Amino acid sequence: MSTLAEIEAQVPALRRYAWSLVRHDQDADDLVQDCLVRALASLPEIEGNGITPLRPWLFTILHNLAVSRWRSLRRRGQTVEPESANLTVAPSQEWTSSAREMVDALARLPPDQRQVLMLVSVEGFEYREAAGILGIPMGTVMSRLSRARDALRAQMEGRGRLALRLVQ
Amino acid sequence: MTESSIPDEMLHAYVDDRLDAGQRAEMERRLAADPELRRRVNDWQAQDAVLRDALSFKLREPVPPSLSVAALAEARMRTATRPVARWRMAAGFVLALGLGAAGGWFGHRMMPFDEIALLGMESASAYRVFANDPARAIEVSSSNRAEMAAWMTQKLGRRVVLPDLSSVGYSLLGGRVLSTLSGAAAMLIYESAGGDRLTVYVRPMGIGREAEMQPLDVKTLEGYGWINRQIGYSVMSDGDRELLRPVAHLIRDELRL
Repeated sequence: MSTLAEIEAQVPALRRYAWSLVRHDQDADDLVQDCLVRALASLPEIEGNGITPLRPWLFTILHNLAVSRWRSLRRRGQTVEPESANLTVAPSQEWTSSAREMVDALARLPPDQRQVLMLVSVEGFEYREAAGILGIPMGTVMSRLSRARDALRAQMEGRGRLALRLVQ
Repeated sequence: MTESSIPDEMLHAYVDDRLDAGQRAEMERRLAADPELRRRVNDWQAQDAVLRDALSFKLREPVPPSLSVAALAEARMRTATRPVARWRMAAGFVLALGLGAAGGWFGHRMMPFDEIALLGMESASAYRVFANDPARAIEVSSSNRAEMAAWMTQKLGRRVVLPDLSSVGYSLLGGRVLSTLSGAAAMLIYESAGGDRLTVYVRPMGIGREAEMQPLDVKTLEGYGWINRQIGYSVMSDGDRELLRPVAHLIRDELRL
């Protein structure tokens, strides 16, 4: 597969991750587009070294763009913090009630926990890859993962616990 | 939170399936002895499954055209500034296609390019590789024209018509679908009673610019190219271009319908 085709193959997952960060279709796709443009611009560097794995590299670019976007929103005095942005998500028709609750619960997690959980649980990255993408030590990945998983558990505790169990 | 001495790291590694068989068996044993811990781990696993399922709609959604990597790469190429002779650029482009690696190509800081020149390079390259292959020039035969046209239409995402060139002495042998950096292209191969072959190359173009028919010269191959309603066409042969002119006009007029 050519590098361009490999990048193309990652676009759906990048959209999913971006959406989980901003929970807004257009904003998420704008982030992904910026990410792709940057990736294409620096493609020679990573192709030249022959060792950078493509997928973590793309997620790193996306993460850094999301962070700088939040920074600039804050600088401009906007009150839109990532953790409170678009808390109400238009329901996807496909969602079951437990899926819906889960998306809401995910939205209530602090961003740093949500990022770790998404990268590990949904995107399937190794812990060490998640650490690289987020630019944090492995130990921090593990402790955030614990907090994220327990926080979700506590949130789901009150409601539809049984429904959750049935999914297994 | 943890009622046992098992570190969270191990619990996560269990949930995320990162343990080897031995560690896994040991973990199962310890979880069996600790119902509260077992529930915690079960909940983590169940949450992950619900979360993946809840977000899977994003993977099924069609990707918007604004996120087409090929189109973004093309746009990048078009807007970069350093001018370079168009044939060199097009040659680099085709080389990248041929090698399946865009590295060398992006390495040169991209320059504006001419779509017709690119189309000519692509079709010439396809011609050289396939058109005169004695046994495997075509991938689909014209024995079922409707099926062939339907397949190409499906691949290109635009209606592909197979022009009838019998009035100028060429019959359709068949064709193939090719991949380019800008998506799928179709190549139709025609043959005369004397065994001369010509190809009609069709590819949807990324940008809306139209182009009148113009001559193409790609080393030993000659032909004509044009863009009509965002579809690029090129007619190629290794014979005299003047002989191709009536053929090209016929095809253009037929496809314009």
